Amino acid sequence: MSWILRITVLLALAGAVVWFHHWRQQQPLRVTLAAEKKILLIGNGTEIETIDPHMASGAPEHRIISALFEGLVAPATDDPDKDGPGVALSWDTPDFVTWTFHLNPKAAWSDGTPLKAHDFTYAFQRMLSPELAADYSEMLHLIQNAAKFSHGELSSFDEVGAKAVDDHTLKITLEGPAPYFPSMLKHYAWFPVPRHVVEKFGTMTERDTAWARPGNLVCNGAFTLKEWRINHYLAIEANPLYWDAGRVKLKEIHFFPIEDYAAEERSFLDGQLHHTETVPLEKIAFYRDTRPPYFHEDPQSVTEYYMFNVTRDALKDKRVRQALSLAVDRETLINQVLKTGSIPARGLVPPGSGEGYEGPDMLRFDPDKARRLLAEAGYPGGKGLPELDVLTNTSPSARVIAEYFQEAWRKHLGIKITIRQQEWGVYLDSRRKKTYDLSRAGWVGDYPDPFTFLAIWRSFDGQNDTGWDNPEFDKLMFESEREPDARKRMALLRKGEELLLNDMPCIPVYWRVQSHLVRSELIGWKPSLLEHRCYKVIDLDPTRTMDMLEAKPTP
Amino acid sequence: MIRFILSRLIQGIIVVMAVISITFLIMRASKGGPFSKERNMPVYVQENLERIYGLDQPLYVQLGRNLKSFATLDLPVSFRLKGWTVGEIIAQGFPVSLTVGGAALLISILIGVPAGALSALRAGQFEDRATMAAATLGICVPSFVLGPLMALLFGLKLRWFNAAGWYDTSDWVLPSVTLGLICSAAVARLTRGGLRESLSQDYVRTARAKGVGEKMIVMRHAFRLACMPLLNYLGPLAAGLVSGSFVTETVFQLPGLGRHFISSALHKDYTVAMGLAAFFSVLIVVFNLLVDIIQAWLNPRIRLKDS
Repeated sequence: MSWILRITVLLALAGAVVWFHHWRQQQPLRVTLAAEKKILLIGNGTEIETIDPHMASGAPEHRIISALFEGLVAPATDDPDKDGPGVALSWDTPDFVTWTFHLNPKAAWSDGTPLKAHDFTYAFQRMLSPELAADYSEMLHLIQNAAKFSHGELSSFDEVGAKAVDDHTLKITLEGPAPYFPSMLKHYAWFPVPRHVVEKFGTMTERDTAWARPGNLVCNGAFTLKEWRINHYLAIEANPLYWDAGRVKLKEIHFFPIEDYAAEERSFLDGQLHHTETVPLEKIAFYRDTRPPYFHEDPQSVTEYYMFNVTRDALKDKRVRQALSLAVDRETLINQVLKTGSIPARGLVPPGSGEGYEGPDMLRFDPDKARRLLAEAGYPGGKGLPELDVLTNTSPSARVIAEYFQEAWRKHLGIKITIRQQEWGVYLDSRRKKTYDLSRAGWVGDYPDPFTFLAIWRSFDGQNDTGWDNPEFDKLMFESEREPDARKRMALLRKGEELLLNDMPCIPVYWRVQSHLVRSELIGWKPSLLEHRCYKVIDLDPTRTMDMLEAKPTP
Repeated sequence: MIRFILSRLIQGIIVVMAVISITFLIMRASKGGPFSKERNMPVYVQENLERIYGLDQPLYVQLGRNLKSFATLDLPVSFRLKGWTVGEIIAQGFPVSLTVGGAALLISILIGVPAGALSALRAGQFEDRATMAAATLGICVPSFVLGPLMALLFGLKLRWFNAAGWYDTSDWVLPSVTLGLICSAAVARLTRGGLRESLSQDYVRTARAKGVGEKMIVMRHAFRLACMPLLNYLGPLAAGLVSGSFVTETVFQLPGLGRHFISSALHKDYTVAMGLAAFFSVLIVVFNLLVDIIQAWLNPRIRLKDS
């Protein structure tokens, strides 16, 4: 009897599994359901730290904040790297120093309060207030007297060059001519904040208040905050009071903080994301070769480089630094070892950083010249040069690059290095304290202009952790900040870059190209060097479905 | 009994405060700070931030302030997740970790205990060797291997469950099974060891001599004692499981507490790290107390006394 029971139970179990399997196969993908409801699902990397535009710093924050808030200038609908009307309908300047912005009378906060020019002066004052200690406050130092106010040398904001002429006219006076100023305004550091809400939850400069939390946040962008669950997702929904609301196509966007590249890839293959933040390093070549319709590569305004600690005796001689750069074959490293699709650097400033800027094409792979320079510097065949300590963080690509350099320098120059991989916080600390000989670093452009990449090498700049100090370079940068003629200005900047690449306080390695997996339902998404997204023109077409595992569009 | 519980609770409070202090001191001793970014902060901004958050004060003042805020349950805000208090972060993540960890604990017991018992009763035979081989494998396979395998097979291939995420009611299954399978290996080994030992005790021999049936001997007499080492293991295991697992939460994209443990340490988010360490130590204290009470109830030879 018992065996009959056993077989019956087994059969019932098997039947249940078959039914369950069949039922699960019939379930539509989350992306399909979401596309029908016009909900965009995107991977967003690390969990964001805040939605307050003045407290933020980082790319994941940028992607969310620019959907919730809008500055004077917004990404243009046809090309997000170009400047389109934001809160300001138009702007004019006679000399690139004095700028007048004409605000859209229809612009309003998401609670219906009209948005006026005073909201911007309030925001600038908040951003520059020393008590708020905003990460990006230095970005506003372009405004006349802003640095003095920020450093506490000026107590009254009235002397700072930002004035509300009337409710809809804003006048900004800069320290010097900045033709790139409008495109800089797309950065969240320049976004307005609602005074009536900020001050409901605390004072203007109080940190950690609840004004930017779900339920409290009032914003002025194409979307408003719906929900934020930490490490889970952040949902935003279309803002009916946005001045251009008629154009917004999506109903909601859900951002998923997925830090683990492999988990993000699995989520995408499982039909949970329309767009990934990235692709696992080791899979990039595979997707590029086999899944071209769904694999996207977007160049970014990012330079990855190795910097020298020029205060070290062995690295004080620029010939040693030049030799180390000449001994590296960037083409092989990028195209055959890393295979990330990034562009081997030919200079420091990535292409597309500023209209009319042609960077110097100076970086070469020339091991013979490298050996010669090293010998001239007194280290023939690397003899006499102490073992160099190379600092990197723990990312997978950082290790690969460091090992490639290790081998290249051993083979071509006879130089030995020790690779020291440190966890992010410790690595940053070592960099600041200059306890390294060479260190990996990266720089993300804040606005499309070479100055954003070159200014960090000024001797007094807080980002210059190398100890490199060249008065001529500082002078060129200073002059470029005061040169009203755009062509002459670009020439000064180019001269600066040439000088930098000749003095070689750093070895530019590559210009980053970011890979993404993108579902075919997603339309209207345009690549951007600065990761600007014009969310209002992005749409989902549920009829354009695809089978990701098969890499074939379903008919 | 009540005196015992009270005395253990008082000890527990001291332990939790010690844990908070040690966490704080280790975090402060490690390099880097909560405001470190690839982009260096202007010096004056850094100084202002340190002043605002009191990081420029002597360590003992900072420690005292933190201990006070935890003792009065006026939990501090996170350094990284601006504006969120440690309490809010734990309140959001704990239900997820509790669901996944609780289910994993249940799975590990449901698989581990019968497997261990079978193995003990058939000691030296095929069933014993097969079970113990599987258990050894289970102990050796790390969750970062088993997790992605489960996600690939039951998520992407068979489409039975979501490969990652926390959306549907069934999303606890894959992570719980991953954790449960791995923990069940240790549970099985402990059950086997405990049962083997108690089966060789004098009182079992006496019971056998008196003619008590084998089933009765195992279920009523031997198993009670066999549970002791297992229970000692289950206390900390339960605390560990319900407070979240970093690897499983990362692999399956769960918004639990485990990811906060690692990210708060990496980002030098002092307050969240202290809060989570305190929370974890509270769980350990509570589960160990529960284990002591259960053990006293199972084994009449144990008497709870305040130490």
